[in-house]
Formats: sequence, C-alpha cells, structure tokens
Amino acid sequence: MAKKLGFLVNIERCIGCHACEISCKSFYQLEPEMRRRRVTELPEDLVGTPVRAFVSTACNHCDEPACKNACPVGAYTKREDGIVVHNQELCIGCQMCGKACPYKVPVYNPVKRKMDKCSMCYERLDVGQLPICVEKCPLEAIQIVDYNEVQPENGVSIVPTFADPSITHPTTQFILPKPGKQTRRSS
Amino acid sequence: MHDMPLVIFTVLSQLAIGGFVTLWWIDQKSTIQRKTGLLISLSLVVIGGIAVLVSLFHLGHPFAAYRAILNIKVSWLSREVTFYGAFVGLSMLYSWFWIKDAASWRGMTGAVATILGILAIFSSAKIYMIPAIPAWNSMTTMFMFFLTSILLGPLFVGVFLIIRGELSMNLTAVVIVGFIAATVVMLVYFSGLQGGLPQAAESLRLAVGQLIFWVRLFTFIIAFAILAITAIGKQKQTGTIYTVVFVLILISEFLARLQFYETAVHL
Repeated sequence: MAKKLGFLVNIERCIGCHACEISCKSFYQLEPEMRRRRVTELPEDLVGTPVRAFVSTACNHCDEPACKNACPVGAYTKREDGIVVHNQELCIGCQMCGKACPYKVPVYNPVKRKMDKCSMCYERLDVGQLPICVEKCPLEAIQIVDYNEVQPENGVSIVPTFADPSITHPTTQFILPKPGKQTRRSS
Repeated sequence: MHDMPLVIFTVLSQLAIGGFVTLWWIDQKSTIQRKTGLLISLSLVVIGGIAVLVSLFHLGHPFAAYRAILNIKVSWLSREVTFYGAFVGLSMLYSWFWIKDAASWRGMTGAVATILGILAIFSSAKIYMIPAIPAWNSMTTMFMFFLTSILLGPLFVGVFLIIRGELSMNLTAVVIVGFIAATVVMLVYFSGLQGGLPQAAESLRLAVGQLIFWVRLFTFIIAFAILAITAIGKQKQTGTIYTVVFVLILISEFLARLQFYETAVHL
C-alpha cells in the first residue's frame, strides 16, 4: 500500500521556541517576509483548563490539495507517498494556489516572483534524512508519520485557528496538551 | 492593489463578451450596416485584447503566461484562459467576416464565439467559488459575473447603434431586466455575507466601511433610475442617455469588482 506521509505535531511538547520555523527559513534561504512553517499561539482555553500552548504548522500535504486544482500550469504534484510538491520551474506566479489553500500555505517569493511552500524536505527524506523542522525541534514535537501505517491514539485533525479539514482533508494531526488539574482548598 | 489587473480584466472581458453576444444576436435578427457592425466588433476586439494584456500584469512571469493552459483538466483558471483566448481569436475572425461582409460566416463564427464567451465567464466565476474565501464561495459570484456582462454589453452596443440610428431592438428592456436581477443578486449577496461564516461577515463589514461601496450603490441606482424613468415615460432613448447610463454602470461594476477582490477575507 502507498504511503500517506504527514506531520504529527505534539502541542503538549511545543514550547513556542520557533526553532522549526527559523531552521526551515534558514535552510531554504527564504526571503525575509517568507515562511514555510509558522508557529502561532493558541487560545488558552484549548483544553478546558487554562494552558499556554503553541502550534507549529506548515503545508498539510492534503489528500485533496486545493493548490493542485487551482494551479493553471500544473506545477503541483502529489507524490505516491502523499507529499505535495510544488515545481517552481513551471510556476508563473499567478498566486491562485495561495488564494485557494484554506491554510494560506503557498506564499509569494517577491524576488523569484513565484510561489513557494513546504515540500516536507522530500529531497532529504529520499536519502534517509529527516525534514529540517523535525530534526531541529529541541522538544521532538514534530514527527513524520505514515498515516496508512499508524493512527496516533490521541491525534486530532483540528485545532483552533485551523480551517475546516473537510475542505481539503489535510494529513497533519495534532496531539493536544493534557488538561491541567484544578484543586480547590476546602475552606 | 495587487488584484487591480484582475479587476480590469474581469470587467473588460465580461463587457467584451456581453457586447459581442448582443451584436451577434442583433445581426441575426435584423440588419446592421457593414460599417456599423465592423466599428462595434473592432471596438470589442480592442477591449477584449486590452483585457488580456492587463491580465498579464498580475503574473510574476507575464511572458510565461502561455503555460496557463497546461492544467485544463482540473484548473478553472486554465479553462478561463483557454476559453477566453479562443473567444478573442474568434471575435477577430468575426470582425474579418464583417470586413468581407460574409453574413453566413459571421453567423457561424459568432455562434461558436458566443458559446466560448459564456464558458469563459462561467470558468472565470468558478475560479473564485472556493471554500478558502467564504465571501466568494457562492452562486452569487456566478450571477454577478454574468450580470456585469448583461448590463454592460447591450449598453455598449446600444450606444453605437443609437448614435448611428440603427437600433432596431429593445435593448432597454434587456438592461432593465439585468438591473432588476442585479438588485436581487446584490441583496442575496449581502444577506448571505451577513449570515455566513465570520470571514464572510467581515468582508461585508470591510466593504460597507469604504466610501466606494456607497459610490457604487449611488451610481447603480442613478443609472437604473435614468433608464427606468425614460422607459416608463416612453421617451425615445438617445445616444446621450445610453452613454450616461453605460458610463455610470461601468463605474459601478468596476468599483463593485474592486471591492470583491479587496475585501475578500481568507479562512
């Protein structure tokens, strides 16, 4: 059976250090305003009791990628392992993929005048290395999972600020933080 | 203002298609002198060509625009480019048949170009009917795009025909029906935004907060009033009335389209 690779982001572990975001930006030498991965703070009422939580998101390598269907030049392909790859050689910079993606993943490179997005570092994966964000996270909060092989027990496919997954069926899953224990003094 | 080329492209291309279909239809049903028909069709070709040129400016790589037809199997943008490109090509051929005064060829070419033009507007609307932008993701986008064509096209052709004293069909009735339909669609659109997802309601809030929203409404109402009052009073339509109404509607549609792009809020 073909693979279905996707990110598994452990929000319980993430401390919002942005190492994933910056290491990716640095590795791919992205322009100042560009990011392939972003870390954002989540509302503190995420799990019932107040928690400070962060989520790291990149391309969700969706099962039904809206970018692929919107692109007029066919610059997007979905590999057998599920990774959605953008071929910058073909891109004409119409920016339609950025509009169509519910997660605003493809961003415009103002120097190349073409779109750009996370490729799950497939060139690294192909030679047995981990994607940069996975490798550089000091908390090991990001993993690559073959969702056809493994279904994480406590993985969820939606968190606040994340668009409705029924639109493009993103592969990314998240592990939510455990609710804190509230204790009350009896008197 | 990144989307300005798209504002100009969509309005002008819809004007060109609406005008072309009107000209072809009148040519089938009655007689238009060769000089008049040629003048109108060449004007439409120029407008259609300008629309294509302007649209290139929203691309990072305009000289690679020809590649935009590669993904026709799934991409509505590819389909729009293909259909509209074919439409402009055929409308040039149609003008050539005006030069040659070949009525039957004109009829056939015009019929195919009409179908391509309709497909181009349909594809154009489908590009924007995407869940990622709730304000765009409804049938009102489709209706709005076609109504731009129905309002502007007949008025454009009507101005030429009235000035040359050759208006033999009741274009005013067509435009008034277009006005009524546009009013209904506008109301459905605004109430849909208000009652839709938070991003759709935010689009409406942004739109209403801009002065151009009110200028758009004002020009639309005044144009409607001028045409309706003169039609009810059985006043003979003049070139001046049609020109004023056309210019007001062109401004109104341009501003509405500008807001369509500028106030789009992503999920």
